[in-house]
Amino acid sequence: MLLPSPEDLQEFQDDPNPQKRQLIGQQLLDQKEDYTQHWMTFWNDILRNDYTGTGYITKGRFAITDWLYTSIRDNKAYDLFVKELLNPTEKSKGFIEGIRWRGTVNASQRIEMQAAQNVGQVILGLNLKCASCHDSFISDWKLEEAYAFANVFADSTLEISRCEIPTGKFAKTEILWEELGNIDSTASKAEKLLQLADKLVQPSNGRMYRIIVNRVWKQMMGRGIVEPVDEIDNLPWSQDLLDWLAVDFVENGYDIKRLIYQNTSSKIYQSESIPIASPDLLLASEFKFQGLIRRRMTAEQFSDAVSHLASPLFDSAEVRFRPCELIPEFGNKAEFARASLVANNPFLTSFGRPNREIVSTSRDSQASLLQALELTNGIKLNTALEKGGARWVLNYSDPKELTLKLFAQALLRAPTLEELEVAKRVYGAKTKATKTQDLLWSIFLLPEFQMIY
Amino acid sequence: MNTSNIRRDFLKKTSASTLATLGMGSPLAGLLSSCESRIPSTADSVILLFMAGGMAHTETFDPKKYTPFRKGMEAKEVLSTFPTIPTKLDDIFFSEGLENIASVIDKGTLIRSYQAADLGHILHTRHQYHFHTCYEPPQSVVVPHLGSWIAKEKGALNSVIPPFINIGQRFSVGEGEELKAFHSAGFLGSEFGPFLIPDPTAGLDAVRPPVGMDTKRFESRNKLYEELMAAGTMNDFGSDYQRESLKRSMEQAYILLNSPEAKAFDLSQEPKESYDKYNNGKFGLGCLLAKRLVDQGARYITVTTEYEPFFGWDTHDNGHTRLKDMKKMIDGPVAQLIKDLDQSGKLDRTMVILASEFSRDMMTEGRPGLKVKDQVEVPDIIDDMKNYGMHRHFTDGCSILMFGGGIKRGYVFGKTADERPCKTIENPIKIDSIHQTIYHALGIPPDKNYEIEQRPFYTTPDGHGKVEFGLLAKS
Repeated sequence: MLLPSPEDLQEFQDDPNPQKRQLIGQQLLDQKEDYTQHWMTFWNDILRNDYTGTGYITKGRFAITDWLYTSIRDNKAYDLFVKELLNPTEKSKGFIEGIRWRGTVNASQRIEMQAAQNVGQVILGLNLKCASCHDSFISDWKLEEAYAFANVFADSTLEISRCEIPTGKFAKTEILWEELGNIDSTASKAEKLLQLADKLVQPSNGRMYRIIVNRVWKQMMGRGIVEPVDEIDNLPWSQDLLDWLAVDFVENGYDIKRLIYQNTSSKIYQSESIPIASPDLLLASEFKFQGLIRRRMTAEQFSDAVSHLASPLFDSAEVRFRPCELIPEFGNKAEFARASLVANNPFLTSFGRPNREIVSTSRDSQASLLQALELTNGIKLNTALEKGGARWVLNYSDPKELTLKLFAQALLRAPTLEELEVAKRVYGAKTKATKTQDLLWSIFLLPEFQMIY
Repeated sequence: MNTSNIRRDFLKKTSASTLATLGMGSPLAGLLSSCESRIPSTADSVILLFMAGGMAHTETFDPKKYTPFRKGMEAKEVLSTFPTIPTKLDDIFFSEGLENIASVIDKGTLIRSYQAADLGHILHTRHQYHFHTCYEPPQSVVVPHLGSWIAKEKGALNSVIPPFINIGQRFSVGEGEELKAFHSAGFLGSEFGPFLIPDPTAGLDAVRPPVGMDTKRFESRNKLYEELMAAGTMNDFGSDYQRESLKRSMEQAYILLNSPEAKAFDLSQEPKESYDKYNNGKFGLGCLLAKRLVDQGARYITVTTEYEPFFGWDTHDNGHTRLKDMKKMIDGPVAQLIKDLDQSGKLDRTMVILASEFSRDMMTEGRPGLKVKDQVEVPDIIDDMKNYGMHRHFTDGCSILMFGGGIKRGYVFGKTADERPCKTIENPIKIDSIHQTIYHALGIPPDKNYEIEQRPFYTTPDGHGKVEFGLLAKS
């Protein structure tokens, strides 16, 4: 989400309404384009959409961006969302069509198997990657079961290969759990996909709904109820909470916005955030959830904050997706290009945006030397800061006024006396563009700015 | 039924992870290497000189019968389009235009039997992915580059020089996205990714204060940052690894940008006489930059002739004419690099490898017996110089040079046939063996692995890569 203006913040603070936190949560969710553009990042990572590598050269890859944007914007019910991914239209077929590579690929990477693996990981929270080559060593999944599931996505019956060697046996056509029902093995691909979609989204498939509530929880709170989020069979730190959220989600229309609202309006979300001393502790079995985990902003969040406070980081040539071309009633022009809509670039990569060749459900958020160098002397940030410095000085000539305004907008608080003193010493009597550029840089690199807390 | 079976063994993971990881979601050291044997290393640094685009072995380090151009010649009679030249080794010949490398080949090993993989339809970037990661694309996880493995396992040799440096490749060219796919640390974490220097003459830009900022201002900006850090309230919030790692990385960047080592990135600091020896273009200067960085303690460096479809070694036409230029591009600088490293004594602990993703032939696409779709039309009768050259992609016999860091001196490994298809007939060696031999020289054990999505992921597929001891001098 974008930073609030000082005025909005003041208004919020002055509002005596005890329900004001719930209200602001709802208002933010109602900002359709901002909401959509924020969550595009999450879904693009998961559905490996907005990917630019191999496959596009030979029309072996299909983007689902139009469908995705519209679906998030319309808050499409999650069961329908999944149905449209599994039994797709032209607009949404990219997810199960996967990437058709040129040349010879492993049998375990044929597109039907990609579909089985990715539907398994994303929608069902299980790992079929091992079992698509041989009986898994880490779970009970068998090669034949992986093939039977892949067969649902196939035009003709697949022959089973074990570790790249064809076995001469042909796969059955089955969903991974017989309780979910059968797929007609003689049916056409289109019919099989329709059957699969219907069977998977049924309310009794509690697995699927636990996964989505867990993913959203992680996104909001910084740590899943179950980790890793793709392995839903692991022990949750609260089975009750996971079950309750999933059941509630099913009983209330598979409503993602409602789920997010539920998270934001919870007492725990509004409580103080928790620092984590080491990443091991976050994934440890004895992990006890005590509140929102303090964490760094994503590449996209940081970029948007810089674009907003200094000067747009990305020019229009870098924008890859323009929602105004898709949404007829798309209103006023955005103040800058949101990072979720621009093509991947080295700046975003250095902050952890994946290239999306494979499904990615967790961002690498550790700071590194390479990233620090990008921040310290990278052209992209430096250019935005230079323009930003000039812009701020144009508006404010008094050092104290500028410092107060900048702190209010960037850190949502007044500077301490000590901080004011530092700024005063830097500026002297009058603001200067170069000094402001350096002040912007310093503030953007403060942990306080970089972290969600 | 598989509803309740997969319970992650948290205990196992946490005990291993305290040793091996820093970042959330980063890999956990596999148990299989928990009692790893210590291998005495023979190399500290590695420089890979990558001949991107497919360097024909018969036109470079493994020449065959020379057939000069004449109108009306039969394509199938042409094995090499250059005469041979002698080398420092008895009875070993190179193709004309590589006189300087011929004069230093006694300092290393010439491999003539590298077999590239069969990936079907030839696509350079897929073979390059395979060459640099040892894994055939596509993979279901993001696989680390050779340089990332080395960065992860060995760390920086000098803490202010990034441990994985990549010189000479732009990513704005055709197939740029495919190039990005393997210039990645993958599951090892972005910390171990490549430090990119697309243009070696601009190496300094990567490690100096931003454009338009003098040293004085750069220092005062850093001071401002430190003062705000100290003045803020954030420090009262208890220990947090994200905050600490941000602080640490910013300090490290500042130290690098202010360090004497940063001068190593600045080619203008090189004495003119030495600079001129390398200065025949971007690749030559990349070699010079690599030398300067290794002198300061770089761990792993790739210098590439740069891959761009249909340029460089990617000769789909005019092969003979274009190879003259390519040889001119590499011959002087590569030989100079070996000489300089040898003279300074650095070659003893620095392994230099010169290789390409595959070779080329005039007739055979792919390999004999496993022919794939021809990428280039080759007429039976050649009337035009533009058809005179090795234009098809050949995988069954490629040359690799290796020098230093424990590699034998003055040695030839493997052999190809003298008749078409000039394929490997002795000591075939594949990519997993090449990688494992490099790791071995660095002291990285062959069973090094991390647990990724619950399964072990090794430096070479399934940890099966064998060290080729035949390449290594007895220590």
